[in-house]
Amino acid sequence: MSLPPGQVFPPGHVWIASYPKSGNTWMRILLSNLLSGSESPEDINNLALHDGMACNREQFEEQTLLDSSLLRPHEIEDLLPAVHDANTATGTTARFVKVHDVWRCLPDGRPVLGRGARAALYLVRDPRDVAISFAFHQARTVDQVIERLNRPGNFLAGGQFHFPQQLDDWSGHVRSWLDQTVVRVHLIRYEDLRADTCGVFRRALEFLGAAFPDELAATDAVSRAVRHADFSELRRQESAKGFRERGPEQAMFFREGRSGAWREQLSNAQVCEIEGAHAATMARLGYELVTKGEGIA
Amino acid sequence: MKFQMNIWTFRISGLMVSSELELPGVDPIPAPLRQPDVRIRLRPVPGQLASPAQQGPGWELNANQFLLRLAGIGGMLCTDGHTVDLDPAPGTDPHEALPFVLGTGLGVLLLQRGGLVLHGSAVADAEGRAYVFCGRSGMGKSTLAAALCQNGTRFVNDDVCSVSLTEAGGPVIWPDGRQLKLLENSIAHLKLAAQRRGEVRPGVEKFYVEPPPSPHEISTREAGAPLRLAAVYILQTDKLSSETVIERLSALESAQVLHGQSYRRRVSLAMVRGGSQVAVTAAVVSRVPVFTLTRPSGLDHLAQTVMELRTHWSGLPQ
Repeated sequence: MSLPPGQVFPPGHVWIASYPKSGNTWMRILLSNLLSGSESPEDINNLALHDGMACNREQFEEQTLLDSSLLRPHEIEDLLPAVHDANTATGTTARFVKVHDVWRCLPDGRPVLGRGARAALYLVRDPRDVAISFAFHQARTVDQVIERLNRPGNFLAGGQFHFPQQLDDWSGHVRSWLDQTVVRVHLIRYEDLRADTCGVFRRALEFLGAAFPDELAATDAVSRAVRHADFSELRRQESAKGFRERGPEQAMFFREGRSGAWREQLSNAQVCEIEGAHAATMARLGYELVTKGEGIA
Repeated sequence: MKFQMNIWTFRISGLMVSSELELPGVDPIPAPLRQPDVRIRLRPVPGQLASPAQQGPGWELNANQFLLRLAGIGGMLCTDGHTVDLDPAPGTDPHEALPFVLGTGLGVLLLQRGGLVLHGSAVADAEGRAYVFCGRSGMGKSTLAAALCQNGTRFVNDDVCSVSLTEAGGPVIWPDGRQLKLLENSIAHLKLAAQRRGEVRPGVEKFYVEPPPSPHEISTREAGAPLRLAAVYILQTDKLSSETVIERLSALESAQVLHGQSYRRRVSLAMVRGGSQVAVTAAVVSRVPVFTLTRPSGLDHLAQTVMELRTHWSGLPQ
């Protein structure tokens, strides 16, 4: 049985927010499978949940009536709060939109992502594992990625369909979303979602105000979505048909997805670099430090 | 002392346009004896419209006016399909705003005049049959048009394509006096550096490019005459594909897609009532085949797409 978004979720705009390689795509596949309610898994290249990304040029142009390629970066930035206010204004349906940008405000105080979203799911992952996954995705060395994780003001380059995405350093990204007071936010640790996908996903749905006919229907819908979004299924589909979100130089998008790979794959110096830069934020999120978190001399 | 102001005249999308500012990327023509269809003027514009029917970030519109205000650039008011008043921000060069006058402004004006305006670039073959390529920004409409012109077709227009009907009801499009606008990587890929003209706007990496010349002799009379619309293609890219695939859409799909591909869709939707947009769309759907053209992303397969299209045209009904 298919569950149209309007019947499961209250109307309104929900950000699926995260630093890259922290489970954003997986969360959207889980939600899409929940909403499809189909007996077979959703096609990962054609998800029912397709409300796009915050950095999408097309949505910007649809709202502003301007050719974004004729605007300078500061002119685009000045228009973004109004564009996102318009995009996030409550409509009649539930919308789930991916965002990797840091939460930030312009000098005049307007939030770049607007004020209209009804809620956000913020996914966070141990930065030591993010470093490995991001390195595979970007075809970069782990050291290059660590430098990116640790550098304030860092951004992902834009392209023909996307604006650049402001990431900031990893801690700055986490703090920006968890400490802002404009949008109600629910924190999900990737590690917890891996360990107990049904339980953690169910709590996220409760936060989002999902309504099911009864408890049995809820349990059934969640367990089916989790089964259909299992990593073995995602890998099977990607092996057979590829995946559009895969990086141009990446062999597989759905690679391992496991937690704690950093223990075997990072050097002590790399662990020190990450923990030194992010000790306070890691401790806040319950990621145990194995060094003193003071970095390397 | 009497102030002598220069007035330039241009032919854009079949309209005679007079302008108090020289327009970039358009070749001026001799001043006509008749009244121009459109006037572009330097005039103060209001901060807001009296009773806007619709609005969005930086713009609002009512039944006969469209107002755009951009911080640091200026304001623009399009009225009745006849005038574009430009009010540059204090201390700003009016030329800063001209790319928006030529894009959004003239597009809105064409919509106010009641036609179907597609977000697309077009070329024509030696028999005068025109083909329009629609698609979202960044999809490669201009680049494909430029590549086709290098392959023997004639440039018709870039980015904004106004469709109207002949007296016999046949859909036609109007050649534009404007140049192509291309990004540096497309110019390099197509080896068009010699035809590159100025920046579309200082600080943005887009340039006016003189269209590759047509191999066919075109008389001055023919140059401004409308061309029969022979096919519409909706450009899409597929990262997972290595081939160009052309598929015909049903009449219902065509009608939906044409609305989706209309220039500045939200304005277009607001202008549907009272105009001939519906009649033109219906004529296109019944007389012109509409296709999706799906191709691999990037420029590497451009030559392959051009060859596929030439083959495809030879198979279309005459």
